[in-house]
Amino acid sequence: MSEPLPNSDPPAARPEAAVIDCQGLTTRAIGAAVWAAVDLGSKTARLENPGARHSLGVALPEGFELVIAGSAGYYAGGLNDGATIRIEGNAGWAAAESQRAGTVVIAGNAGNAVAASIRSGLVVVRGNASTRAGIGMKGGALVVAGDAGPMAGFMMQKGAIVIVGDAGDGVADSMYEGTIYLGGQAGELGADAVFQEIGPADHRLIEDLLGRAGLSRPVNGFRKLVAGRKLWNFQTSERAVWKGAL
Amino acid sequence: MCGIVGFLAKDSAHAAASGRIVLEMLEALARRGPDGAGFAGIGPAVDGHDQTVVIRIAGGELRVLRALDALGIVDQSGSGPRLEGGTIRLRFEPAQGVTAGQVETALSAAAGAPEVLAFGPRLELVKGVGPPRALEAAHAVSRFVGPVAIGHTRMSTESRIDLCHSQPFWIHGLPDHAIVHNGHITNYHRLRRAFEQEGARFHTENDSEVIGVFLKRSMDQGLDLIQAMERSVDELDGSFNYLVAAPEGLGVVRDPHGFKPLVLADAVEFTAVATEEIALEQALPGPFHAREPAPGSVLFFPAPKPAQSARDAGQRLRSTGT
Repeated sequence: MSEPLPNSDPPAARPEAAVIDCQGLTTRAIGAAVWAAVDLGSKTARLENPGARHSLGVALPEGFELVIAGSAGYYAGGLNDGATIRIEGNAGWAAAESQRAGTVVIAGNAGNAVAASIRSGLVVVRGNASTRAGIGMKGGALVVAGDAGPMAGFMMQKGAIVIVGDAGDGVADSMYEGTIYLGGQAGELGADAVFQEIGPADHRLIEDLLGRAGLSRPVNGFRKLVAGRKLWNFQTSERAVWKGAL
Repeated sequence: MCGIVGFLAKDSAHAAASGRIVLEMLEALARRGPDGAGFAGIGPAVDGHDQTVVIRIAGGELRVLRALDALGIVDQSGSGPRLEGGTIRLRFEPAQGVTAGQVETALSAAAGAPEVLAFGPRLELVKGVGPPRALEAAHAVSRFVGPVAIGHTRMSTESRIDLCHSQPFWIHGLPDHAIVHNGHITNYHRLRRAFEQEGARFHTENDSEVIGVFLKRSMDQGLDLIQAMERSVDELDGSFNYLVAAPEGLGVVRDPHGFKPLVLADAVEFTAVATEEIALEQALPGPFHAREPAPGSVLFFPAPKPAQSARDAGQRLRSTGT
């Protein structure tokens, strides 16, 4: 039997991935368990049996990865502060709302107002997005691999939305700035939405975003929607535009 | 807020569990509506010789019972009139051609106009203030058996909190049809005035009641239920997801803007719909694909024909080797 080596360092602390079974837990208890994992230095956590509960994985910090092994309810990954959150099912209303940084990937469909008011980072919907996807975005990017429902990009201020499939009626309604790249067909365009010529820089951006979203699609064929800027200032001669917008 | 749920069983095993499943879905949505809860289900098909109907009346007072007695309305269920949760329920055989409206009119003179909450050979409709567990305590809805059921948890915004203003609403004048609604019908007052001028009667101040009146009026004008639901998408304003429970199946309608949430799972054994996916997950174990019907959708899921159910049951027996 050999003597233990003197002065040997303990094995490097390697935080295990925390696994949290949500069955029977309240949302508050699940949140506390996730934050305990963060505080103990875990780098990842996995929520089993999430049961489409609301407010899972909110305001998690940079460097942390949370897997939600099923569907999530409202506000999943909301106020994200830099974490990577993977939702293996559907997400309810306002997934990733007000994200400051980080990545939220939804394997299924997303409910109303996915990526609402995000400032930065990436939100990916691998299925379809419902109404008002990317409403009020202030930066960052939203990629929808399927179709987006009515009013996608409503009142968007900055950032980019890539919709690989079709967009419903009212797409790009009342945008300030920002860009929507549309791979499929558009319904009736929103107030003040205009198609603009697409250029090489746009193609590079689409390619980059699709790559980061794990989607390989040809970037040709996308069209670019921006604000016509007629709603920036009120002019009596353009009363008709305002009437439609309000 | 409010929460709505609907369930259509496509086999006998799920029909036997429809009351429990709808109750569990309602409990998952209880926080969306603490002011009231309700349930409406279409019971099993009755055989052709049975001419009885179930009537449920708001108000459990003796004078209502006496008035019913005076009208010759006598319970034939064998167990006597049931007084539960502030209502009276009895099964009786109406004289030829007697309608719920006539019963209601007769009661209004004799017993202070209690509302007839439900009427029909197969409709069981119960509701009240408080959460779903209070509904279960008063009416044991989990024991309900039948192919179609809907439920509601209510957060009152526009009208008073009492039994009659809770949902579901029976569609007055249309036996065995009931609706639940999540949202706010913003042209309610205008529609109500117009319909009242045509002779329609409203029983509450709840804007959701106008949906049933709208559907009934459209069907009186010759439309079928699905056509009436399609017309409602154009003529009702505001936010609405509503469900219709009928002997023929389950109707699902969304407003054109998708103002309110709704998810739907259409599986081989059942169709389930709820305001939030959490209700489906809680009440229906096992994998299913949940999706959101597009805004403006009008969907109708037909109930299996009784003959199909029998065949299904036969297959079930054979497949288990008994």
